[in-house]
Amino acid sequence: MSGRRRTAGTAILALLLVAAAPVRPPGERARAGSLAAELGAARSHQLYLLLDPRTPALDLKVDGILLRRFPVESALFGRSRLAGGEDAFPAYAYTLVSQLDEPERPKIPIQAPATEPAAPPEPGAKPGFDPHHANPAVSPASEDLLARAPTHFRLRFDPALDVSILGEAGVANLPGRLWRTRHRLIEGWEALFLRLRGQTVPPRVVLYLTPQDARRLFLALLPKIRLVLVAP
Amino acid sequence: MSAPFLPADPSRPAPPAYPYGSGSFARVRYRFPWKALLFVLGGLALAVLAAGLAGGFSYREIAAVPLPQAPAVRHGESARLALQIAAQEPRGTAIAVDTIANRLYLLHDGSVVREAVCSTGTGGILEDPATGRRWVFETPRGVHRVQQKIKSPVWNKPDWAFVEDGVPIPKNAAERMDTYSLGDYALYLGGGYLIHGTLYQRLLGRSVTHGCVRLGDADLEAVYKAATIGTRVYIY
Repeated sequence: MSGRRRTAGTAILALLLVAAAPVRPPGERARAGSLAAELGAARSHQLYLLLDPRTPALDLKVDGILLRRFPVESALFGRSRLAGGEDAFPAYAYTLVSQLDEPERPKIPIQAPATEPAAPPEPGAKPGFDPHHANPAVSPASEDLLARAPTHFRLRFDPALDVSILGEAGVANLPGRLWRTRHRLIEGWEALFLRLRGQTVPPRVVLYLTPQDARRLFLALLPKIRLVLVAP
Repeated sequence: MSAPFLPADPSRPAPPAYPYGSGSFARVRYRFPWKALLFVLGGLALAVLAAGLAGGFSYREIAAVPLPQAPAVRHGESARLALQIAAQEPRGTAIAVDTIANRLYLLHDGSVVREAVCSTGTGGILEDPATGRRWVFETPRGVHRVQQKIKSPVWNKPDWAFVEDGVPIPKNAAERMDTYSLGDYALYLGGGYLIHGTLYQRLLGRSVTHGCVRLGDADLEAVYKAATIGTRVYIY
């Protein structure tokens, strides 16, 4: 009899403790999960990306310091109709696994060796310094590295997540909409092709940036860079 | 025994005209089946479109997508984590270099205290026609640390400096020494890369270097004085 009383008392006490415990809303749990992922990225002391779906913006950070913000005009999350599964983000933290294409690099011209004797140095000039001598590394092509970077590219992260960067923000006219529809159709065919080959179709995030920001982002990417999702 | 001639009955309709001409020899014309072709092509286009739509992505605004379910957290967990992230910021001086904008930022406790125009790598390639060796003149992105602080630095010119100038590579080490090109101070970041001064101050703000970060005299002095061995340098 006393044993039953003790069991009942313990159960009541446990119920009271559970009832008294503060309830953690899902938003609080999501925020803690997101912050834990960012803490892991910050502790790596490497550059990482932070995607805030609510702003929306993509931040380049390191050690918790914001280095550069890429404003996002529109951010979409998509899942192929063939893929099935839950319509949710698979994780808080991702690692870039896709190979980054090497940008087209300008070739540095080799200077022709001087055939005439050097002019006498100007008064006050440092020895050996010719102020009229052009810096050999300067070439108009060197300014084009940014212009040569792509405006449209796709990044594959692990756990499976595709991020499509489309540098076409502000294109809301009819040709722009048709272009985006064409992009969607191509995505659909790709997904169908993957499915037919028995491969999984990962969920996709589409970020519309300005062309300049898209190019800049491409040049800021590093192999295995982390991407962290921000919770509100 | 022939059939008796019957007069035409005006109450009966006239037979239809022969469609392929008249006379004793009727021509048979081949008609291309345009309708059938259009039907097949239209069907194919619809099938391709339907395949794209079937495999397509159904998109929604990213802000409405649920985040993963994190495990239960303790009270004040978020605040604790936010503090821990803030604690990762380097105390004291740090340096950030934007290689596209060609700007160097001197940070103190995470805040920008000085902004300087700099020059970074061209991103170009130099090829030695004689040996086929290649060099990429890119400022290395990532996180680095100041490994050495050097006053009145001397540049031990590497092979590419001679290849680029189109002159033979000297065999005498003394001929490689350059005591004037790097300015008054230099911060060594490792891998042969430096933050240093320049003779070409008019080119500051442009991507013209072989990978080092060049600064103007006043900015270089300020950065040199603020930085210590181990100061973090963020290049992006």
